[in-house]
Amino acid sequence: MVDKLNVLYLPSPDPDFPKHFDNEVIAAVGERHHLTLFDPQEELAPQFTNIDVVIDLGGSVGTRAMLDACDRVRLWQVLGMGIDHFDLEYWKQQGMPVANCPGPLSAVGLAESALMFMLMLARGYPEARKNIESGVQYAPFGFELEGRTLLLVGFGASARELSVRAKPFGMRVLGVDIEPPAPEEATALGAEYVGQAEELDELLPQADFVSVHLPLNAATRHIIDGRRLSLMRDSAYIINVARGALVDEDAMVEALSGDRLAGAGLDVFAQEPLPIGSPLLSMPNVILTPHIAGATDGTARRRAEAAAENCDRVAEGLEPLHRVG
Amino acid sequence: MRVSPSSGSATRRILVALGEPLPEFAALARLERAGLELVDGYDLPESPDGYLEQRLAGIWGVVAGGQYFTREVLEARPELRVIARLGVGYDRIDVEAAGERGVAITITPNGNASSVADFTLGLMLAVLREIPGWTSLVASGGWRGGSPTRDLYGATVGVLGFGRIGRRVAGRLRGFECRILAHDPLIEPGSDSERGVEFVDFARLLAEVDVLTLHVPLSDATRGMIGSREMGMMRQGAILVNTARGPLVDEVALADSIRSGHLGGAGIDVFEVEPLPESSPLRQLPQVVLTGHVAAHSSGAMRSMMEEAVDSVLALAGGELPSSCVNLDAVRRAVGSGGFL
Repeated sequence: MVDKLNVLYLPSPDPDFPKHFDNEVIAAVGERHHLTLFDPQEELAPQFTNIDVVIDLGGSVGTRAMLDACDRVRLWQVLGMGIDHFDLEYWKQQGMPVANCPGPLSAVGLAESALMFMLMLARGYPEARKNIESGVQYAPFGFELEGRTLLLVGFGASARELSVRAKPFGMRVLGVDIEPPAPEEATALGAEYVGQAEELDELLPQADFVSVHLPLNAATRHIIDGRRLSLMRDSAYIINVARGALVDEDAMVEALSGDRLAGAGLDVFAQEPLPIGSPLLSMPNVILTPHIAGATDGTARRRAEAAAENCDRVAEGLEPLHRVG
Repeated sequence: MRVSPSSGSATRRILVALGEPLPEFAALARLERAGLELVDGYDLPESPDGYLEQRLAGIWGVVAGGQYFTREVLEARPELRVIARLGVGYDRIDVEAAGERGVAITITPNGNASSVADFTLGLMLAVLREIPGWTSLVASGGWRGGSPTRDLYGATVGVLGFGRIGRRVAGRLRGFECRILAHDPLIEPGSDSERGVEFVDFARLLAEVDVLTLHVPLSDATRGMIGSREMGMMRQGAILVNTARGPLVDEVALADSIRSGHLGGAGIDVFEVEPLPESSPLRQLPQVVLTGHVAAHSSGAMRSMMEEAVDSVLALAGGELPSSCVNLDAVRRAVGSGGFL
C-alpha cells in the first residue's frame, strides 16, 4: 500500500470551461491520494503548503507565484502534451521536476480529427453546409480518398494513428521524421515510405493532403513556410491539429486566397482564440474548430490516469515518467 | 460484340437525364461510337410530373438520375425499353409496370460504394466531434479550447445492411479500433473474424451500438424501419448516420429523440422529402450534420457509375441482359424467347 500524497489540482480559472478533465482527475487521482482543487478565490500560498504533487491543467494554469509558494512539491505534472507555452526555464531554475502527458494519450483524438478534416474537405463540406441551408441538393461534387496521397510531417504517435486509419481508405501514406522508423515498421503502420526530415521538399509536391504532427519549438516553427507551401499542389489541402505556428499562417492565407491551395482543416492557430478579424474566417474551403481535436473523452481519461500513475511513482520514491524538465 | 442498332430500324436514341454535364461523362462517347444517338436531357427535373413523359417521345433508353418513372409514364411511352439508373436505388421507378412491359432497369452496383463509404465515415466523425456547433462558434468569434468531444476509438458501431456499401464502411472502420456489429437479413448471426465483424439480430444491433449507420435499400420492408420504437431501443447518446434513403427513418421521431436528450446526434444526407423542407425540425438541432444527398457525388463514383451504365446500355443494345439488370426475370418473361431486341 502506497502512502497517500497531498495532490493539488489546478483547474481552469474559467468557470465555463468544461469539467471533463476535472472529473477524470478527481476519479483517477482522488481515489488513491488526498486531492484538493485549487480555489482562486482563496489565498494562494496556504493552498500550496504541504503539497507533494501539483497537477496543472494543460500546463497553462500555473504561475511563478504558485511555484514560489510551494514548500515541498516533488513533481509538477502538466496535464497535457504540448509545453511550448509553459515557462519551463523558470521551473528548471527553481529545480522543480516537470512531467507531461506524452503523445500516445491524445494521439487517437488528433488522428480521428485529422482524418475527419480530410473526409470533409474532400467533399466540400463548407459548401455542402451552405447548400443544405439554401435548398440545393446533389452538390457539391467531391472526391474519394482512395488513391490520394497523404504526407505526414512528423511521424510520432498521432501521425502513426492517422497512418493506420488512412490506409484502409486506399490512401498512399508518406511521411518524414527526424528519426524515421525502419521500413518494415512504417509498412506495418500503413505508410508506403517515411523519409528523413531533409526529404520534405521532395515529397511535398506529391501530396494531396499535408498534415503536420510535430511539437512546436524553435526548429519546427513555420516548418511549413511560404516556400514550402509553394511546393505543394494547387489542389492540395493542409491539415493542422498540432500547433498553429508550425505553419506560416499569413503565407497559408495568401496561398488559399490565390488558389494555390485548395483548402485547410485547422484546429490550431498562430493566435488563440482565433482573432475575430482573421482572414481565415472568410475563406471558402476551410474548416475551423477551436483547439478541441485532442481533447476527446478518451484523452481526458488517459491523461488523468497517467497523472495518477506519476503520483503513485512519487509516493513510492520512483522517478516520474515523461519528465520534460 | 459490335452493335449496329440501326440495322433494320431507326437509330436508337438515348436520353441523358443527369443534370450538369461533367468531365466524368466522357464514357458516354462509347454509346455514340456504337451508333446510338445521345439526346440532351440535362435540364430534366426530378419531380413526378408529366414533363418527363413528353421528353421520352422516341427515346429507346435513358441514362437516368433520380427521375420518377411511373406507370403512367411507362404506359404512355411503349418505345422506352431501357432505364439505366446511375446509382443503386430504383425506388422511384415502378418496377412492376416496367417488368410487365419488358423495360429493363439497370443500376450501377459498384460505382458509388467507395464514395458513399467515405462520406459515411466523414459524417460519423463530424457528428461525434459536434462539428456544426464548433464551426459556428469559431465563426461567431467564440472559443472553447479543450472541450470534450467523442472518439470513435473503442465505440461500438452498427452497420445495418451488409451489401457493397456496408462492407466498405466496415472495411474503413477497421483502422479505428472500434467494435463492429452488423445486421443483414441475408447473413446468419455469428462472427466473421476475417472482416472483424460480428453479425447480430436487429434488436441486439439497436441495443448495443454507439453509432448506427444505414446501408439498406428502400422497400416496403424497410420503409420507416428506424422509428421512435427503434430509437427507444438504442442507447442514450447513440448517434444515427443515414446516407442510404430518407424514408428509412422517421425524421420527426429522430428530431424528438435528439431534442429530448435520448439520441446524441445524427448525420443525415438523405431525407423523407428532398430537398429538405425549410420547416424540418432537423434544421434546428446543432447535434445534427446535414448534407443534401451528396454521399455518392464524387468524381470517382461518377466516372465508374458512367462506365457501368454505358456497359449496361451497350449490352442491352446488343440484345444481352446484363447482370446489372435488377428485373431480369420479369424482362425475360415479358420478351419471351425472342431475346431483348
